[in-house]
Amino acid sequence: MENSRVMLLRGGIAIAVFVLAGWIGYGTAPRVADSPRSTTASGISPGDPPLARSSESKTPRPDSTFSARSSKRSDESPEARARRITAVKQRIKDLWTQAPELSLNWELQAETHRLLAGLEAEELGTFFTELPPMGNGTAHLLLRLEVVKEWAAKDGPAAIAGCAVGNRIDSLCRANAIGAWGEVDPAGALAFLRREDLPPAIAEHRRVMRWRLLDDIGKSDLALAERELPYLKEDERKSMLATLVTKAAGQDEIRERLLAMARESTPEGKASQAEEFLLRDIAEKDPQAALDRIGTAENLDPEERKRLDFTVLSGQANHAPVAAFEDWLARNPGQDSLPEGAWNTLASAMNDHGPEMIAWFERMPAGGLRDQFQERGARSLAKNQLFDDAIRLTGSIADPALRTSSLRSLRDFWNNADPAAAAKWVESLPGTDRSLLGE
Amino acid sequence: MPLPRSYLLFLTGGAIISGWAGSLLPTRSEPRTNLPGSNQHGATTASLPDRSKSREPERDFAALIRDLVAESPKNPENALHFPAWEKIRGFSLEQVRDGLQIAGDPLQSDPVNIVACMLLSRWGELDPQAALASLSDRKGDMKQLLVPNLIGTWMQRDPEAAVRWAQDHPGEIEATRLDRIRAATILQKPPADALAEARGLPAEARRQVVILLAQSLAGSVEKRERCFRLLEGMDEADRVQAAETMASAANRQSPRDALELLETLPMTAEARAKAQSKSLLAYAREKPAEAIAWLDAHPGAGSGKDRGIAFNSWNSADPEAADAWLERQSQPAPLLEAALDQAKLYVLSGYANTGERPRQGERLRAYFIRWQALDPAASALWLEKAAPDVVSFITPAVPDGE
Repeated sequence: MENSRVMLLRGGIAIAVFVLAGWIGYGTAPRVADSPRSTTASGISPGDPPLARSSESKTPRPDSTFSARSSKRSDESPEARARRITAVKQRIKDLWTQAPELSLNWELQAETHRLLAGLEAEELGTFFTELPPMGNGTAHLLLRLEVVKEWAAKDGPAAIAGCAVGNRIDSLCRANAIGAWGEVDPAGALAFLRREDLPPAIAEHRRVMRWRLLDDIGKSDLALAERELPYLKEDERKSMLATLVTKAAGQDEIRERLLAMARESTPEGKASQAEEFLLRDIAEKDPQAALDRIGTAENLDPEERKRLDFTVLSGQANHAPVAAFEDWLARNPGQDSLPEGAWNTLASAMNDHGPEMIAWFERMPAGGLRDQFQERGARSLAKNQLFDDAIRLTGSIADPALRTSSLRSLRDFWNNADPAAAAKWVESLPGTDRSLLGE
Repeated sequence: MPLPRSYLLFLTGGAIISGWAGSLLPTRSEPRTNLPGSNQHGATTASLPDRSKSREPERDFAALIRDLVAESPKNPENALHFPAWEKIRGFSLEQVRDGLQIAGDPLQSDPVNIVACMLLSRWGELDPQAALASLSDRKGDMKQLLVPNLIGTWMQRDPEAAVRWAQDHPGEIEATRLDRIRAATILQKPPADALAEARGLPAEARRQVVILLAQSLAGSVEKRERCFRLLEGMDEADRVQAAETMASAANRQSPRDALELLETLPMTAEARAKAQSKSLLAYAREKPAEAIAWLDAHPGAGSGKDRGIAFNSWNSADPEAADAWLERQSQPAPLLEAALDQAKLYVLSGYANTGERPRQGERLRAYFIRWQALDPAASALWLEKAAPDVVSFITPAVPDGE
């Protein structure tokens, strides 16, 4: 159950982040040293900023009202600066509004950064609050997420505090803030999240933010992520270990240490959550390697081995559900029912690879097992309001009890979505099916 | 401090460096099928921004690309700036070709090959048709981002050619996505001009113009009024679309705001009820107690199903408060039936192992027993028609003889 929650969290955040990254159009390459860091408001001393990874200097536009010089000009009056910053902000907003396509828009991204780099942390905070979370279109919603990153890179604590405005998008803002802060000052960001005296409005999001931060750090500096683990409480550490262990490809020594740490709190005969995540990860690319790993493990009881067989099924099914189920049936001969351990995998496969799965059901030999696959498959289709496909699957179920179950589930989902259409379908059914429905 | 090469390229690029929008000349180019770097640059490259100045010696160029790839951040979503583009934005077709051979596949997604994506973007500036053709009939998550990016760039220079290509290749980009890019391009003009142009577009493309306009003018009473003034003379469907868009935008911020906004927007009763249900569903999931309080304060609002969803959500989060509230209701039976239907759908959904299924099963049984006491006949009929899974949660709790 914990696994599922972590998987959901991981998946949800990964999807949100991936979609967002794509939309805004991020690029690569290390940050340049043109953004002077203002001192953070937290009072935490994070050490040397790793900002200046490159000695290369960015190239501001040579002459522009929108000068992106980040430091305050000594000869600029406060009024003149305010006017200039107002113009810069308007320029950025116009750029985002006018962009025909935001995904992978490198010029937009580069110009936005060039302009935002000229704003002090406080000015970025003001800009962030001026950008409404809604009402000015998607472009400004996404710009707001970009502004909070720049703000967090200059003053992480202030940016994280500033994210809490009671909006549905607050959590995404916080994820961007901690992510950007962690990029320029991972130690400082980690130290901040370790603090006991965080205000409740931030502390309640501590675990989610730390997950995001350590997930990111794990990709570039696994050893630093590992060093943070002792500070975590056991349940948080367990789920974090499971996440980090999948990032340790090619770093066998660290991976073994992480697995050993995960084993410490695992009951005898059982696999740790980290081991299970690793197995799922391996199974995605090489199911046989995952099975071999289970086969050679010494500390697993038979029941656990059986459970982990479903983990391999689930990992392999991510990209290749038909092969995964075929392989699973081949290594578990004589199956006459679909065990509960496979339900989630089947439901996910129907969501992500419905047509492939339906074609496979059609190729399966008729009988009880196929009926069971079809009955559960039809439920997923009906839940996703793919009623035509659900009708087709239900129509080829021979077992009366399974057919009844499938018909009734289909009717209930359809009735919930569109009662008139559902009633029309019921009327069109032959008498035998209507009686199975209890009509 | 040494001047970086990108700075030199930048300077020698001249007037074409004024940000992304101004960087592309409006000259039209005929679609071509050049591979990047072929010698037949012809009109396409001649008409396009050539920000490159000096050709890198071959060996240095390969090293440069490899460096850019190696320097790619592991977490691009966190990065504020990507200096690789400072270099790639000035590449010639030949450099793009050579660069792609070294950098690899723009469709790679785990991790995303940002340098290859940038090279493809640059190719799209120089020869959009060939860049798009390089992705033809290929699959990959990144394609959903790369194709719109290339078409968006092309649209700035030659909208007709870009639209024609996209329409001739329906498998390459979703029609809605194309229409959105088209709408965004049209809305670079003043709204009144954009709407005048939109009137001549096919219905779906026009709809996207209305959606984008409404999104940009949803933030205040004054802006919304301005939006509807601009839409005067358009079809009624366009105004309803604008209202729905504004409600959706408000819903993204806060379902409660959306519910309040819905009271004021000019839309049909049917559209309003649909939007209200959507907001109520979100509200009930996030703050069920508040959603119930809102429904209490608006007795005419929300369907029986909406109320069932809200009550079932509240019961998951805080059963004691939900039950206490239920006790105060004068007609709890319809509410229990609606909540029962929602718990039933969860049990039927096909998922297991999350812990939520048995919890929903327990609620299902509790609702049923209460409802049975209030309306034995209706509840018996309901049970008779329920799927076996659902019945299995309820039957053990129904005492014999009842």
